[in-house]
Amino acid sequence: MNRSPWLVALVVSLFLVLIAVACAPTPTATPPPPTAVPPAATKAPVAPSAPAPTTAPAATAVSATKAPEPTKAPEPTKAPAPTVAPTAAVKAPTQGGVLKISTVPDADILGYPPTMTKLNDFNFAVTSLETLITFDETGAPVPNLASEWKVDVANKTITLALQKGVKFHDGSDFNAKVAKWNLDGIRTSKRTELAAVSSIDVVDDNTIRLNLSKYDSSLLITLAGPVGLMISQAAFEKNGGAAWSEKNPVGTGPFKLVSWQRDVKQVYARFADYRQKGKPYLDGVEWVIIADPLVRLASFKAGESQVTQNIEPKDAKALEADTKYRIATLASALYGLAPDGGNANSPFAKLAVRQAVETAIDKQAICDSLGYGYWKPLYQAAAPGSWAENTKVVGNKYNVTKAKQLLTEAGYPTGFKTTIYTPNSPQIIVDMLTAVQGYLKVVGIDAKIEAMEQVRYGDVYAGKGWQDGLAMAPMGLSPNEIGLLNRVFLPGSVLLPNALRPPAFQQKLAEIGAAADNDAKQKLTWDLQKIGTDDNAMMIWIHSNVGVTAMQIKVHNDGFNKTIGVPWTPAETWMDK
Amino acid sequence: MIVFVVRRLIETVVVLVLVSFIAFSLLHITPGDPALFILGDTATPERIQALRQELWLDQPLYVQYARWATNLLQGNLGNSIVFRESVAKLFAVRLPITFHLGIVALFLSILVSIPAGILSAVRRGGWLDSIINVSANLAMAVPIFWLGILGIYFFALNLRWLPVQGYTAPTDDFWLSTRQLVMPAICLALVPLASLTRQTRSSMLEVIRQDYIRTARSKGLSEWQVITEHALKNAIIPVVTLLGMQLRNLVGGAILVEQVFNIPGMGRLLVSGVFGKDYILVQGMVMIVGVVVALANLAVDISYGYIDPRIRYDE
Repeated sequence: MNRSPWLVALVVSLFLVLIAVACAPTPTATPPPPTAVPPAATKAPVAPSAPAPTTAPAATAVSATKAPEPTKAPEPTKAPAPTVAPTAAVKAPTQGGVLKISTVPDADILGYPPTMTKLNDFNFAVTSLETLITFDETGAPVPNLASEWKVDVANKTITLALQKGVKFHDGSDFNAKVAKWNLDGIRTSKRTELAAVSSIDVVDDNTIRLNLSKYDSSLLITLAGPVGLMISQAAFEKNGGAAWSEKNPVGTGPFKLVSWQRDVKQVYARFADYRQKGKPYLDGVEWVIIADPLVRLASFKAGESQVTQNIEPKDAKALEADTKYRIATLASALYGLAPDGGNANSPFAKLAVRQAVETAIDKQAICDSLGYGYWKPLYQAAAPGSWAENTKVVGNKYNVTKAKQLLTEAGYPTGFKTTIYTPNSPQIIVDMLTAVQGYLKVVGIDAKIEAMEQVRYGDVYAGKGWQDGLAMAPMGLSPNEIGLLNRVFLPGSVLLPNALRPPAFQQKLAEIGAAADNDAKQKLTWDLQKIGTDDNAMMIWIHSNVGVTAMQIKVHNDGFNKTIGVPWTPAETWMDK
Repeated sequence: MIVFVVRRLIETVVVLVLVSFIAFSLLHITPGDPALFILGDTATPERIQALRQELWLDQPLYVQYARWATNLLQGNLGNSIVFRESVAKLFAVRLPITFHLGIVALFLSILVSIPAGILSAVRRGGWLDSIINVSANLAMAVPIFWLGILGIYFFALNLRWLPVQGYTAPTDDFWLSTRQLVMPAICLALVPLASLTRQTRSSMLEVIRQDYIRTARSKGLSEWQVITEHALKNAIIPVVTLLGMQLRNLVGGAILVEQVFNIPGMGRLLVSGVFGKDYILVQGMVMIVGVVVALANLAVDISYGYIDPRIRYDE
């Protein structure tokens, strides 16, 4: 302890100098000045489009649009979509730059489709992997790694012609043999999406044929999702299989994975041998995982990322007013409460009670106050305005008098006590349910909110279930709209185990699966909506949720929130210098 | 001294076994099935069963614990359920980050608190004493996450002096690393800094009233010599004890600070592990944190002997 005073003073001074120097501003932190691009018009929440009749699988064999030539020169910017700033359309894409995207949560699996269980994984995976089929801006299936296809309903086959001359990141070839290996991997795993495929034939080096045990109208759509992602068989076999591939995506996509630190960031570099010459335009992509929404937004505003996802409606509204940013929204999920109508002793076993609960809730007011115009009130299992919405469904509209009357008819004139089970994040869900709780109180239903961690809620949603209450049931929208309804309500499902499952509803779901064309599918889906809502009030629907992505206006052609089933378009994305 | 150290190490092992068992039991008692969490919407009875088997979740609790403990004794911390990676490998990446943050915060708190405590004691009742006291009380009361968010708002968003979030290793980019660490380190240092300031002041006040201090002054020693060479040496022992305890607080504080500033250290890892019910990861963390804290406390105990020669453990 016999230290010289000057030494202590020196250490203190050095530390203070270090702090002062570290706090000095740097030019990189300064946001770019607004460019001449005018503020982008914000796209209203867009419902997914109905599959276009011209591209629908018909009863006889039809061909899909051919893919662009692999050697095609870089295309100019596509026709502007509503969310793209008008001047972006006339600008030629600029090469270079690393796009940083802040988001949450991180992926679980990046490179092995058979175990890729969460849709969130797919959002990241398309940076480096490609699907056989994808969707255009109208939501119609279009070629991707498959250049065209023929659907033969009578013979129950789908024949896919594959792009030629495509290489994986490891230099191996993409061909029919590899495509079959990929799809067989899905079939032999415990995934159910390709259950209708009985075998796969390699017709020639660039053609495969899927032989079906029964026709499944959603199969093409399925091949545009995680199940249709193609990975390198050579890389898989060389590196020891699934455990390696899960973390190391080796696909044909525009970017190669450089590093992945789980829950921190994913770093990708441009794939020089990408099948579309001249693309991608960016040098690289970085996904930065930021869990806290406030910090994520602050980081975006400070210019640390050019794109940020999963913004809350309130923040999106504020960003919308700023000319430096562009907002893209897309209906992403249907939010509702599942009553335990399947439990005979529950109050919710009675139709009148389920109707009373829905009638007691002013969904429009909730959407206005919490959704800031991005949410839409929901009365059936379809995004408002989508092809699956049956406009003839009466629904259970807000009417307090009617709600009380229904409760009296059901034998609960003074209401009853119940519980609403929900995950405790995001907070906005709990806020929304607090509003619901208030509306239920008005008609005498005393609802307690049981907010729990996701892992605990898993037991309610997919495990032991719940009793005498309502379970929060967010249903992610898929391109065929009723994808999650299939998973939840078809026999054998473990999801929402106590929900009501009327046989007529299950029957209709099965019929939709076997529908031969889109007209038939749409008509059956409308019938399904009527059975689900007017006949049974199976779910207490609240609102249609939207995914909100914000980006700096210097980012173009990113494809975020443009089409359900297409997370983004990494090959097309470019940035102003 | 050797006997003392050995005895403390044996006690530490017993404590760690108990802690691991309690943590293991608590994690399993709480509802929630990691298999369902991992599978999400794609859960089917077959897939749930297969995953539960793969993760040994279908085995009785004692079998799961015994398996984990056996692996631990062989130096294997197991594989994380959520991250699907070796827990040891995760720690190897995350521990140095938390260590870096903790060391800077600790250094900062010592550097500020001891001079502040001394000044406060020496100028007792003066305006400087009042300022230091009020500041220390405020620092104790301010929630770390609130301060962090406020710091981000002013220094990162408004003034643009510092980055909002993230961590860069000093070996990769020392300048960026330093800038990124300023706000988190200050937030993390604040509570220990306040406690140590108060403790230093209180200890110093007790010591400077002693006769030997008066004697030292009467011998004509300068005030600086009296304080640093005579008073501080005796006043520092309770401060060192408190410093050992603050190490635990630093670990706890790191959980919050790492969340706010998006620092991929052990704190964020622990949060992910708890929310994902990744009991293998959480168990491993409990052991690692337990060992670090126990060793730190041991180091504090040993340091007494050097600070105060009157203390001899083997006598």
